[in-house]
Amino acid sequence: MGEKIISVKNLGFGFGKRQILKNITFDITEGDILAVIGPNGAGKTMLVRSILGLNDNYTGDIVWHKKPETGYVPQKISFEKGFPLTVKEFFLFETGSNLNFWWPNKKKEEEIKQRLDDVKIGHLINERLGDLSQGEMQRMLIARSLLENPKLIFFDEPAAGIDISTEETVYNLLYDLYKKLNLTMVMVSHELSVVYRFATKVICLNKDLVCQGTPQEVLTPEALQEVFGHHASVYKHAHNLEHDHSS
Amino acid sequence: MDWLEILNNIYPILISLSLGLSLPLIGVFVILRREALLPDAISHIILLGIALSITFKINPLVGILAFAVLAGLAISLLKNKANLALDAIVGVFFTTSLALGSLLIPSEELLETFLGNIEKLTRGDVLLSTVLALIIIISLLVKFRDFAFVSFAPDLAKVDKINVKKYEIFFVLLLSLGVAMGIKLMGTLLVSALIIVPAATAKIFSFQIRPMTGWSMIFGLLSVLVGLGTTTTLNSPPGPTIILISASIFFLTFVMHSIFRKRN
Repeated sequence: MGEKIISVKNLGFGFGKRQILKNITFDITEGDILAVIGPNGAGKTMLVRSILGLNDNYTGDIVWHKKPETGYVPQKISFEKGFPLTVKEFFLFETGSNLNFWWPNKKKEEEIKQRLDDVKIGHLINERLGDLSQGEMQRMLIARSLLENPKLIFFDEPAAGIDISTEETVYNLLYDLYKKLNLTMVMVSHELSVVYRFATKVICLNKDLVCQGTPQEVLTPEALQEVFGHHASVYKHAHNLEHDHSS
Repeated sequence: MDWLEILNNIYPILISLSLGLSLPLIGVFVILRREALLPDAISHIILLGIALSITFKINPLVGILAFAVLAGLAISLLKNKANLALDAIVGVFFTTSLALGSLLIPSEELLETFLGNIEKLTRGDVLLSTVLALIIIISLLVKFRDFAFVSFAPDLAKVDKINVKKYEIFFVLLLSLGVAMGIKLMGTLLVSALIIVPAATAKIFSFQIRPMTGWSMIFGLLSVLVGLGTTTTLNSPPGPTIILISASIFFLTFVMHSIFRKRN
């Protein structure tokens, strides 16, 4: 087991009188693929945003034991579709210097192309962000998060807006990267089957921390009933994914 | 030609370069941030500064600069506070300052405060504008990438350990100083148009942010140069003249772009 990176202790937050989350305590440890599951409005995104310092409005403690290079793939970014900004320019925000932005060198451009090729959208490097489809946008955000070789990545619904056939590709890709780059991942996901196969640790939220542990231990019908409030079960595909870490 | 004459000829060129290049550069970021109302709000708060300067008989430049900085800081602070949307804050500031300013400024001076007056520009104004323009242009071009990142995706910038708040405040201050330096020539009602219109024109046909920035500055400079020439020839108020030139470039570009795009 690796070292602790982040400890979340007694975290809680709400809007006005409405309490969204309370008493959330868990650790993120090196090498984890931690899946955060829960129904809509359970505060999954807010939890991730709080850990990343994008939301200060919470009670309890979030302790970073170390500060690894961190990547973040948000659910979406909101911007004006007609704004002239290309994928390459968007990547140059992240990498290189201010001077590089005006005069990008060949090496930087190749790095960007390589990351885009990793998620199979290398041909979109000179497209405008507003012209990408939702699925392309999601892949682009994944590629971007990997640009600075992070050790810890937060994915908020990494496969949202992607059709089922490419969804598997995305998760396989993420798992490949996880193994190749020794990553630690935190992912918010609705896909119980994916969580079951990929995650090393799950936390289930529904106001309280309903369950915590390995997916095999905690994703029981009873726990899922408590999280989602209706019948939910882990749907297992007939075929196995290429990289089933539990096998 | 003696020195005084040379200097007198240089001033219009200096003011054209200062305003024509720096305000449209700011405009690229204002459009990127979808805050096109912000320059207007700042100019109207500055109007209150002008009004108070006249009432208390102090140099209007002091009132303009003081209220520009005040406006910038107030907007930056309020933006992240309370449950106020930016457009609501802007709406409140905007109209209150306009109402107060209009009541305090003597009616004979009100029109030129609104529409600008080239004769009121002193040598000191021109030199100050040149210095401010240099600060704005150098800051925004050298740190262009960071300013653009923070404007476009503040959350991602924050995760990348960029001090978003610092850039936000710095940008609003640069914007306020830009508005302040343009206000005497362009007038409170029209100064924001020189920030928005050239950038909006460049956006029509640009595919990338870098060329958009260059074209925005070219259109801005062209508008001020041609506008000032026309003002001197026709003896018209500078603010409306410059903006009409700028708007003509916008419509011409829009039509040309539509025709060109259809042909392809």
